[in-house]
Amino acid sequence: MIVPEMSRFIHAADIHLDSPLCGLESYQNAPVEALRTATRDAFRNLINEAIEEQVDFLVIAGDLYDGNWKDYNTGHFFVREMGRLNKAAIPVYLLYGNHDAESEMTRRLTFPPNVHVFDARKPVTHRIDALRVALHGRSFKDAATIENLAVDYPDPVPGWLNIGVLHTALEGYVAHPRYAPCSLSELAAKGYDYWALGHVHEHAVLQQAPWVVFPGNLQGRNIRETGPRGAVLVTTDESSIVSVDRLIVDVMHWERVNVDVSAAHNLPAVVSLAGRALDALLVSKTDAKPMSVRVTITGRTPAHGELFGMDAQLREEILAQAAALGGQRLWIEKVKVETTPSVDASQIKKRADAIADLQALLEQVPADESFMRSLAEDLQQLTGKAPLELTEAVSDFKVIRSGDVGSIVQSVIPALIARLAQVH
Amino acid sequence: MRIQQLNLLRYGRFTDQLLSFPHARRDFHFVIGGNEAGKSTTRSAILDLLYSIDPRTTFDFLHAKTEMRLGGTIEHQGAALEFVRVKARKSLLNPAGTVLADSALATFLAGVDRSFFDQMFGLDHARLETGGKAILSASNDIGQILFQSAAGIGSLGTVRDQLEVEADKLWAHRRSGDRAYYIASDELARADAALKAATVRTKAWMEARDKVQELEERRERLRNSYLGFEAERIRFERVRRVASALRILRDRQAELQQLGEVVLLPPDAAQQLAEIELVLAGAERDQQLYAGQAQQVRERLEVIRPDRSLLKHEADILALTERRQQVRNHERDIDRRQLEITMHWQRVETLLSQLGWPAAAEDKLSHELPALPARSVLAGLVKRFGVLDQACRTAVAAVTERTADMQTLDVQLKGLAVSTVPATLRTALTSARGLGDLKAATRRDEALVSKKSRELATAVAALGPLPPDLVTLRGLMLPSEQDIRLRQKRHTDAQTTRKALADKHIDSDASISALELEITQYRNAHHPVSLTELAEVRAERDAIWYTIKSGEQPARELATAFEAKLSTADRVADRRHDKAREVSELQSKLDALERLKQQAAENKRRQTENEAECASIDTDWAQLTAAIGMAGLPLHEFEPWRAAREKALLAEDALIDTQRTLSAAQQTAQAAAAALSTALTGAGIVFENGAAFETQMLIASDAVDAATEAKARLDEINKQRELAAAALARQSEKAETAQAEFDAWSSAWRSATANCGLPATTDVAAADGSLNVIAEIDEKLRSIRDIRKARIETMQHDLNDFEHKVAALVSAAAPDLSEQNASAAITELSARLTKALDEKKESNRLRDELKEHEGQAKSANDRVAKARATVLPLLQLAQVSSHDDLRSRIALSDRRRLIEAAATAAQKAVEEGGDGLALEALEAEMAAIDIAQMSALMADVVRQLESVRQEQEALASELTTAHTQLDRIAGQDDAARAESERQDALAKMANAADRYIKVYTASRLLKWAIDRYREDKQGPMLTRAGEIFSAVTLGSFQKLTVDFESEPPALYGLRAGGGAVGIAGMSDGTHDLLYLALRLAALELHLGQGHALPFIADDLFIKYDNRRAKAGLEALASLSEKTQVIFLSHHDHLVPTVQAVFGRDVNIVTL
Repeated sequence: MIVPEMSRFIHAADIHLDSPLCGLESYQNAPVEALRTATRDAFRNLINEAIEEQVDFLVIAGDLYDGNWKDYNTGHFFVREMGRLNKAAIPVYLLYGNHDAESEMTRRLTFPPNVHVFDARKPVTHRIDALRVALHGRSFKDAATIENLAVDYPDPVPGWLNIGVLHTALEGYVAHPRYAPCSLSELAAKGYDYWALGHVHEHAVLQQAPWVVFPGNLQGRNIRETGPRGAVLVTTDESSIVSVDRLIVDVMHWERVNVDVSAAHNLPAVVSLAGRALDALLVSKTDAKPMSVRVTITGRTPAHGELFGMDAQLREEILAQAAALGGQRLWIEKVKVETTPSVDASQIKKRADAIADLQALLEQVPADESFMRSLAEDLQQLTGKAPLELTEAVSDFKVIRSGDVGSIVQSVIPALIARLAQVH
Repeated sequence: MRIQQLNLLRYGRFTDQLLSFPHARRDFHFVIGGNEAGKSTTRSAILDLLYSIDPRTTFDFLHAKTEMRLGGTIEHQGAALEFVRVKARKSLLNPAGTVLADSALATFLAGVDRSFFDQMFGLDHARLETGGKAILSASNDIGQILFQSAAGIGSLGTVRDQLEVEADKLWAHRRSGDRAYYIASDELARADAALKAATVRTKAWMEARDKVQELEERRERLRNSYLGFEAERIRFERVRRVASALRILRDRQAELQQLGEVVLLPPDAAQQLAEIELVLAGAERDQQLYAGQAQQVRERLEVIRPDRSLLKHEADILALTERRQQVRNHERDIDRRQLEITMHWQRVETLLSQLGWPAAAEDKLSHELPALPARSVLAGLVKRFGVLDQACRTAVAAVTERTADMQTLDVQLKGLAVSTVPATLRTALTSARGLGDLKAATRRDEALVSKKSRELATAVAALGPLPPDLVTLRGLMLPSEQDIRLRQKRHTDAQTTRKALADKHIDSDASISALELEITQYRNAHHPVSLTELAEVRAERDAIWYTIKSGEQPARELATAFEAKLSTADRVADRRHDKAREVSELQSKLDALERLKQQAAENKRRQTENEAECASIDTDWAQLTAAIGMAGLPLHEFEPWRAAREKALLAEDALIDTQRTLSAAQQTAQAAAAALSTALTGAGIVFENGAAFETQMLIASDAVDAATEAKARLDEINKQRELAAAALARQSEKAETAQAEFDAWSSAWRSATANCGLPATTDVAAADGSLNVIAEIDEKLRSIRDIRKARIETMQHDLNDFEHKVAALVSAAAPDLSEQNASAAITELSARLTKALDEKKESNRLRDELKEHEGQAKSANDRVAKARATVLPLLQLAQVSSHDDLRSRIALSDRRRLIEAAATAAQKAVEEGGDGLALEALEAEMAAIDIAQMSALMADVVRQLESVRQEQEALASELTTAHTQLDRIAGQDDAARAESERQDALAKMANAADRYIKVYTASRLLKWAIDRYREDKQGPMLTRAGEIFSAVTLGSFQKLTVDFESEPPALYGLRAGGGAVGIAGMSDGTHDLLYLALRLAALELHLGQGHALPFIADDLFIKYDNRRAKAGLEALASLSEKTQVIFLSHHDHLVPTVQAVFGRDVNIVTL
């Protein structure tokens, strides 16, 4: 029997080529141009790594494109990158997931000979004789594939390294649509050595015997996808897995920074604390990649009212801090003020002054149906004209469209009171 | 709550300043102090007393922050609290120095924070003005006026405006390019368009690709068709090209056949013969021509004979002819010069008569005229006269002036009185002055001693309880810093190791527990079979078998049991085989568990060692501190304690030094005072017995200054007199010298006038004029001599020389002209010379011409011979002797060559146009085509070719377009970028919308609330405010009222006479009063429902006259019945007014 030498392959998934980064508002000093094509650049990095590392093959476990992305140039770009791998004699095993199944490109692209696609009608096995590696998998035929695909996967090839390639929500990942559900124990029972999964965007090694791995998506695209992103580099020895290492190829990380401003009395102090937090973030990151950062200002602070009134200035000051500290490395995605007043409503009430009177009056606002209706109608003029995509981005839109703006009023009153109480 | 006492213990410029605010029916307290007296300090101190000393306080200029201290007693509802506020983390103390809880004041302050207290219960003039302005700016909004007056803020309007402006900048129903939302919306629209333009659908790509494929196939078909037609066209073209040449080739070959054998002469033989014959004929013609011309020239030379005698004198004749031109005008010029001499002499005679001298001959006059040296001496004396005369006059005047100065100084010296003081007085005064301001220096030194004492006390206090006194402290033998560092490092290392080991212990236990659980779960999940289990079942099987083998029991009885055991053993063996991997995995986990337990044991051992090390360190330290009397001092506090000790010892040293300095200064001052008193007495200066040291210094200073001034004046006059005497001596000497020089000049003058022939009495001006006349006479005589010598005599000499030379030449060259004058003779000679020269020139030219003709004739002879030699080879080649025979042979040769050339050209044309086909193939091809039809056929082929070509061109363009379409889809990222820009714009829109919702809601809420506030409060508040307003305006206004008819409702002040004045119609001062009225009314209302705190009024009425100030105080009197009022002011003129309002017993505190 021929014993193959040590081999290595890359397992990637959820590339979502050319899908945009969401929620980023450009401004001076933001690394705008560098990140316009982030998913594409990350994929190019992946291919560069594959060629430089001279891996034996590449596995893509679904969602190469976004389902609603129509530009054929994306497919062309993918084919071109596959051509580079073809020149480097690196085969690619491509499985379509829920997003690919919806894509017209999926059916029309003509790949170079090194690309092997998993059939959508039934599970198939691709064999690499020289390495004694068998890859089993089945592509999605439709986006809404909710049956268990793994159950029909073939038996392992005895004495070979068996890899299962599957696009699945697995069980328990409620944050993702439950496509091709199956359980971890089911996968373990198949007798494969490695399960190359896709669909879940967070990197996870669920088990090591056998290995069940979500590599995560290649590039974080919104604030929910924080931290470094990429694929995994798998090293095998004879017919077993030796190691699984992360391969970070993204061009930008998303990060959250929470700034507790309880001790800050005014805007400059808040900005100073935010600057320190950003500096700490920069220091903690050893790589030089750009970061898109959501700064959330929290805490029970005397500056609550000032922050409410100086929202634009706060944002500008923090942008200036970011520019001073990180130059083109930091992009402030959003500055969210989630502070609470240092003096609560009961303390205001004790003052028994005009501010307390005003607070008492404002507590009666929800009962003024006429005012509430009028306010809702005014705000509906905004939501009525807004594009649908804003409904997802602005949580208050749904509230306004429902006609009950009580929650908005309740959230604004403390800030307004704090703002007035802080004015001299 | 009210303040009973405020004690400024160490705060600002105050030390132990107690302010008392005793009870009264009207709790009003007037605190008065001039500028810089500490009024602002007092106001700040009240806030700091109640709420802690501000970390950024500026009242630490006298007492350091750490020393600042306030005391006070406050009371509320019968309870009182006396406390002290210091600048420290635990800042609240009782009078004994015990720390009080931060909540100790809670009952008194009722949760009112510092900011609110200052805002609600504090009012100063600046706020009054700000409030007044805010009322004006909010004049059309009663709600806002009431609210901001009640809240003590002046910028509600600003908040409202900010909200409204920000909301408007974000979004509004009306689209605008200035609003953030719409700016982003426009960006979104642009990005949408860009995305649409950049997106290539798969279908579009497929169509583009199919189009390219189809067009490429069509292009291939057209290409084949074109090639067929092109081949046909080429065949026709070839036939047409070679047909004619083929016919010519055949004809020429036949002609050569007919011509037979012909001698082939050179191709240019005919031309050669013609050229030779042409040359020969020309040469023979030239022979005859040039011989004749030579003969003609010889004959002409014979008749030319030029005059050789004249030619010999050519140079002389030409020179004299030239000379004649030069002397032609000499006789006329001599007459003109003679006339000039006559005119000059007439002028000389006129000048002589001016001098009064008699007329004389020219030579005699020249001899008698005064010589130039005598005239120069006289002219020099004339010039010098003015200088000498002025010098004499100036010297005399200076002597007179210096003499007068001397007399004046002598008078001043006589009138000056002199006084003196003894040197001892001067010495004593200088010593006293050197001591400077003794009182100030002593005060400074005493203050310094006091400060150093406090610093020492502070430094000693910082040491804590150990050790008892400074002497002991100074004598302590402390361990070195190095030793302490080593101990601390050892302690820190041990503690770090202790923590690390503890953490490791916890981790290790957790790992062991986790692995044990994992092993249990693994066993439960996989049930691996161990070798022991397998051995056990096999042993059971083998036991039965041995029983069967031994025959102890019948095999039949045991067979079933044996089979069961055999089956069990096999099953277990199979399971073990099947579970080999799991067994291996389990064993791996068990091995790992064992390793972890070993590590845990090792860790435990190290923990024990570490504990011992820690105990050893603590013991060592305890022994050391006990040895130096510092038992109980923790190791980590040793270095701070050592630093505090150093500070205390340094403070003690500093105090001792300062005390010594103070003592020395005091002794020096006493000695100086005694010395000064003695010196004054010695100088005989009387002063009051017991006069102060400073008075003695003044008296001594006056005496010394008077003596010094008189001495200086005497010295100054003496010095001036010495200078004046020296100046008088110098001026007298100068006057004598000037007079001597003038006398010498007079003697020289007399001698010089005699030498120039002038009378001795001639004055300076007359002598100057005579010298000018003599100079002109001299100049005229010199001109007469020059004309005569240089002009007239020179010209006469030239005329004589010319005539002499002409006569000599005529005698030698043309004696026949000897009778003529010189000018005519030389003219004739010149004409004859010209003629002789012309003849000589012609003779030379003819000789040159003869030589040329003879050369040409010889050349013609040579050419004839050469031409005849050249034709000889042709004659020999043609085998003939005459030129005519040679011409016939040449004609035959040329014909043969012509035919051969035509045949060769035809063959070449066939080869070139035959596309490489053989001659036979071409002839066959030509035979197959009807030449007559060929043009028509070819035209048809060309038409078809053109048609295909045009189709190809159209297709190529179409194909290029299709390729371009397809190439555009090359993986570009334009759509991705456009989508990214879309998301960018959406983010901007979302942020703008999000913020708009909040800001707009806040704006609406604020407006709604202010309207409600007005509805609720305007009744009671305006009633009370109107009363106060009426009082403080001294009845100018009766009350405040609201006009509900206007929209929005407007606030008015009602005049006593019934007229209403709107806010805008009131003066700035009235706005301030209105704000005060509203503010006090709101405060009274607040006191009706809220917690009472002291009202601090800071110089509220600085711009009011006494009547208005009194009205204001009366308004505060009402307030002081509800809460304590502390009125700070620097106007003591208000005291009577205050007493008038509050009675004589009102509490007045002076700072």
